[in-house]
Amino acid sequence: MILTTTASIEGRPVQEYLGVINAQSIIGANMFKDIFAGLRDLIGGRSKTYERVIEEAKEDAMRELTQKAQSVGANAVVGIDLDFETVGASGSMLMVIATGTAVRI
Amino acid sequence: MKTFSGQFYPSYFSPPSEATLLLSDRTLSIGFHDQDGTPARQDWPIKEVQGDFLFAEHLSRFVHLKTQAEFRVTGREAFEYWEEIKAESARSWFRKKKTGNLRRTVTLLSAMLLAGSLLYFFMVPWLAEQMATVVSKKTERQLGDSVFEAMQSTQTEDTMATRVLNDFFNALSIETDYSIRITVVKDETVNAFALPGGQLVVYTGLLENMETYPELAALLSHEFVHVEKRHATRSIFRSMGSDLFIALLFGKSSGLATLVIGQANQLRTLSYSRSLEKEADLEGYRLMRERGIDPAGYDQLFKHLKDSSPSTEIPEMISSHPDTDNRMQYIREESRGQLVKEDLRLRSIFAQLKNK
Repeated sequence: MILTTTASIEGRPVQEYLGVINAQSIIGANMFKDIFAGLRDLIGGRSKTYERVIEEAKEDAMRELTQKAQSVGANAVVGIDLDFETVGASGSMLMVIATGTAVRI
Repeated sequence: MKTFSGQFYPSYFSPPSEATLLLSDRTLSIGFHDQDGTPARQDWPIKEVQGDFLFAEHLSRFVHLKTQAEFRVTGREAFEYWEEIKAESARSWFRKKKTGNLRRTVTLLSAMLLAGSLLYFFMVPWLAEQMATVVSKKTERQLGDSVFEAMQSTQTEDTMATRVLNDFFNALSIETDYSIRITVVKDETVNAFALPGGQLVVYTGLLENMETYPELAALLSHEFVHVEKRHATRSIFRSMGSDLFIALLFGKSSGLATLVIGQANQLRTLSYSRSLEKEADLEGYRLMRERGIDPAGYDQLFKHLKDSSPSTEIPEMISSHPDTDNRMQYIREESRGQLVKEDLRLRSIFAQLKNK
């Protein structure tokens, strides 16, 4: 199974296109993480707490995308695009959308 | 997560088909085509899977314990990654890489909470008080005057009563660096308050009920202490300091936290306000005692305040003033055995107020 952001895979021509698939994951950092991140904002430096939240959301979205690809009988997903957005009233939740084309190679 | 391609054996006897494998810390997903060629997927929870490595064939093998279905991948990589996942899930939850070292986080968080509360409850108020004490009387006066001017436009002054009350206060001859200016406002509200820098505002609603001059002396001495001890200025600085601290710590993003802490802050301000009111009562009473004025004036004042708001039997904890009965109590205790002498001058000035 190959997952790639490029439109084609080197040396492996696409046999069959199985459609566009997408998966999303929306994660809220909790109140304590917000406090830690707020302090980081105050004193400067990298906010590991928020970085972990982004990483987690991305993992979830990619796992779901892969499972959807498997469900349609694909053995690769090409042209994957990852979108990161904040949602929620105060923008405190993170949304990751993964979109790609499921193919057979 | 990692993905692999390999062979899927739906059961022990069925022929293998080309399939894909997704290994993640939650599930093991297999994408394959069934016998009539339609795509399908199976998700196996990690607990139900046994993984091993077959040396002879150089294969990583995963077996679903319930159905005996198998997935085979060439090479060792899949098995090694599987071992990693198993090791991670075997750890107790607070030692997982993802959650980080919980013990460290908890220690850090409680240390920060402690430091934060120390700062918030002791350092910030202390700093604010220090700042309030260095504010010049002139600045205080400007502050009070600007509030007074803003208020003036909406209210009408009782000039006659204003003159009488100022005379009365001067007759008390209290020494102070502040120039005390009393204004009587036509309003039914039973209330009076002190602004920073020496402006005292008294509502006619409070004066109407007054029967004796010690009561007026009690009121004015109480409000005077608010000015002399810079209570208003100190309160303003304290609440500004707390607000600034909360704003710095929480930003404006976490609405809930700010709300909770704002409420706590309110209660704290109220308790501070109660301690100031008590100070004003006791110090005000001391001024009266020095002049031999009947402490019953305080008693009457409190009674009138209580009568004017019979419905406000609110618990002391959420009130800005001490409970009226408490106030009567501590003044009575203070004034036990006090000598009283009649002050004719104060009496005659007070009479002007009543006879106007």
